[in-house]
Amino acid sequence: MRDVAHQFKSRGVNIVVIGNGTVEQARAFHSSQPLPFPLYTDPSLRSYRAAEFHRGVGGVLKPKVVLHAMKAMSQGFRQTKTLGDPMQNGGVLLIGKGGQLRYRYASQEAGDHPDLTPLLSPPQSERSESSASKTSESSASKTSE
Amino acid sequence: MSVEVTRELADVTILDLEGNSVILRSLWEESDALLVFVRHYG
Repeated sequence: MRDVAHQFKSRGVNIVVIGNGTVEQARAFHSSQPLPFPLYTDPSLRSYRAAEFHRGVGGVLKPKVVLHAMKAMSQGFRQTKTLGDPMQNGGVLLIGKGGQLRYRYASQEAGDHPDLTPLLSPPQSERSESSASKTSESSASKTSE
Repeated sequence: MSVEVTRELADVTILDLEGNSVILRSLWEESDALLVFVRHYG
């Protein structure tokens, strides 16, 4: 996710990471694993509830969780002590300037992370417009010849 | 998808590493924002 996040950042998108432990836990985590993005915390879980992210045992006790864990470990990730609510799943929100919700992903279980690379592509309407402009330019050049 | 973020979400206050309160909507006032909510630290 860090690789993709840098691409968002280069596009002027404000990237933040939000956890749900105490401020002290967030600070300790940031000290041990500094992120290139601002880290916040919501011990109340109000933001998670408002975003309707899943919470419960079901997000932890699923066979898929084992697969996610194995994949993460194969990539060098290691889970340390759990700091925060282990039953609360996370997710991702892409919010446009001014408050337009452009993308929402709610993780179904531990280790369930979305592929954000499609979000880096311009919206379909912009792709259509750019194609149209290219078409009109080629027509104009053909006409002028 | 083109809906407004709910007021309930926009009005939530979170904390920075100094314990200062930050209202969520401030994160997307000046630019688009990618909010990554993690399960827990560690």
